Amino acid sequence: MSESARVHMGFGLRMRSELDLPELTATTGAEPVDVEIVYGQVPAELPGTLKRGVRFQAAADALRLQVDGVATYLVEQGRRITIDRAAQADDEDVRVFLLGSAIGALLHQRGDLVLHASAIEWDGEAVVFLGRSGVGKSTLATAFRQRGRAVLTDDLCVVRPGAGGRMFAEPGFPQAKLWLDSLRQLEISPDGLRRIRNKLEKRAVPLGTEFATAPRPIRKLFVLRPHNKPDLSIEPVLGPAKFAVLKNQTYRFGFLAAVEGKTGHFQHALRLAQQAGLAAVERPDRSEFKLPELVAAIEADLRA
Amino acid sequence: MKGIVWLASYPKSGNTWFRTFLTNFLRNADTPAQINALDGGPIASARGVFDEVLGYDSGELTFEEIDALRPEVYLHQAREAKETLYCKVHDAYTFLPDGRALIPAEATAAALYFVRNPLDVAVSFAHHGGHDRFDRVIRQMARDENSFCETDATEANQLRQKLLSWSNHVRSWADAPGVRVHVVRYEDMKLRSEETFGAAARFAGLPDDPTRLKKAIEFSRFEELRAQEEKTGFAEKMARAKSFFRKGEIGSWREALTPQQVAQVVADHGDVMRRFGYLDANGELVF
Repeated sequence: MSESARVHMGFGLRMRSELDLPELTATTGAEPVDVEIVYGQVPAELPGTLKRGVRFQAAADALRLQVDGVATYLVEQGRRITIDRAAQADDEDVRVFLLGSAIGALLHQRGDLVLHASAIEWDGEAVVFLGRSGVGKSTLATAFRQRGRAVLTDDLCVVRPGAGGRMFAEPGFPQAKLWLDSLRQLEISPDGLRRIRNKLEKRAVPLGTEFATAPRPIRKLFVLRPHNKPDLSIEPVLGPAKFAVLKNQTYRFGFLAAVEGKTGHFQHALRLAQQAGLAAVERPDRSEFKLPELVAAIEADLRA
Repeated sequence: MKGIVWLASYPKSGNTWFRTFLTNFLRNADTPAQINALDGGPIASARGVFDEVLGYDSGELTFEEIDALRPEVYLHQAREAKETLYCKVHDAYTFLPDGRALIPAEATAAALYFVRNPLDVAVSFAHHGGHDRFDRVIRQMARDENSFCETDATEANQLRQKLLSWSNHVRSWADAPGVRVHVVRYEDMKLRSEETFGAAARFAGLPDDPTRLKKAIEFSRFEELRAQEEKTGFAEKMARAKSFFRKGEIGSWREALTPQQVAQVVADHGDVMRRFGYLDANGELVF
C-alpha cells in the first residue's frame, strides 16, 4: 500500500484508497481502517460464482464488476476493493462506478441494508426518499438542502441498527449528482460544476457544510412513483406492502442473491418496516413535474 | 420456442393492440385482461431490467456504451428465460459500429413486425404527443436521426431507441438478416381479424385453437380497450395525450391531413408503401 494513500470517511467506514477520492471527506487519526481500496490485477473469472450478470459475477463473499473501457473491480469480504483500471480510463470514470455499484456490493457483503435512496435530516431524524434510477431522489434531497435541511446521502442509503433499537441512516458522502434539468429546476447554474464523467452532462455538486455528519434514526420513508396524471398524492403504505417496497428498493438486489447470510438484510428491512412510516408519492411524470409543490407536499405530510 | 419473440413496430402501429390480444390468448380466461397488466413487457428499452442484468447504472453510461451492451443483455435474457419471452420493441433493427446487431439473431426465436399506413401513423403520433402539428410529425418520420429518449439533459425513462425514418424502420425489420420475421398489417388486423391474428399467433408458436383465438380477438376489441382506459386510465399513455385508445380506425388521415401533407408522406415513403400494399400499382392510396 502506497504511503500516500489517503483515508476517507464514507458510509460510516474508514476507507484507505490508492485512488484519491475527493468526493469523500478526508480523515486522520489512528483508528483501524475498515476498507482498503488498491490497484491490482483482477482475474477474468471469479471462483465460486453463484450468480452471473452481463458485467458482474457474484460469489458468496466476493463480486467482480467490469465497466468496459474504465475498470474492473473486485470487491471482497466487505473489506477490500481491487481496481484493475483500463489504460485510457479517467480518474472520474473509475470513481463513478467505484462509489456506486462497487461500494454497494461491499456494503452488502458487510451485512448492511443498502437502499437505492437519498436521505435528509429532519429535526434530528432521517427522512429517506426511495425510487428507481432517474425518478428524482437526488433532486428532492438537494431541494431540501436549499431549504436548510442537511443531506445524509444522495444515491445509496445505508441502514444500520443503532441506539435504542432504532434503524439509522448513515451519512454517505457529501456530493449530489444532478442532471441539467434538475439543476434548472433547483436554480443552480451548471457552470463551474464538474461533470461526473467527461462524456456526460450530469454534474457533481459538492454538498460541503450542508451535509450531515452523524447517522440519524429513520423517521419516515417516501417511495417516489411518477405517473401520467397531473395530480400529486401521498398515500401511506401499510402492512406487508411496506416490506415489499423496501425489498424492491434495495440497491442492486441482484448482488444479494449470492451473498452469504442475506437473511440479515431481510431482518434489517423487517425492523425498518416495523419502526418507520412509509408513504408512496405519486407525482406527475417529467413534463408536468413541479418541484416546489412536491417539496411542500412532503413537508406538510411530515408536519401533520 | 427458445429465445425471445419480438413484438416490433414503429410507434402507433398496433403493437399495444396485439399485446392485448396476446395477453388474452395466453390467459385464456372468462373475462378480458386488464390493459394495465399486459404481457410483452417491459419494453426492450426498459432501463430497470437493463441495469439489473448489467450490474450498474445505465444513467452513468453514454448512449454508445449502452448500445454496445444491449446485445449481451438480450442474449442473457434469452438464455435465462424458462419459457418463450414476448418483448415489445420500438427500436429499428440496427447494427453497432463493430457489426453486431443491437438485437441479436441468436437471442431471437421470431419477430412479429406490425406495420400501419404511415398516413394514419402520422395522425396518431401527433395525438400521442398531445398536439396536431402534423407537418412536424411528418418531418420527423422522414428523418433517419429520429429517436426516442435521446436527451442529455436528464435521465430519460427508457434507453435511447433509434427509430430511423418510418421507411427505414420498416425495411430494417422486414429484411433483418438471420431473423424469422412475419409482417402484420394493422389494416388486416381490423379487416381480416381471425385470419391475421391466427397467422401471427401460429408464427409466434402459440397453439392453433380457433375458439381461444376468437375469444382473445373479442376481448381485445377497440371498444373494450377504450372503455377500460376511460375507467382506469392506461399507464402507457403519455401525460400530454388526451387518450391512448383514441380512434383505432383505418383512414382517419382523410379527416386530418391536407393534400400537401399526404403528398409529402407519399413522396417520403412511396416505395415502402407500395411494397406493403398502401399504394397500388397505379400509385393510388388503398386505405
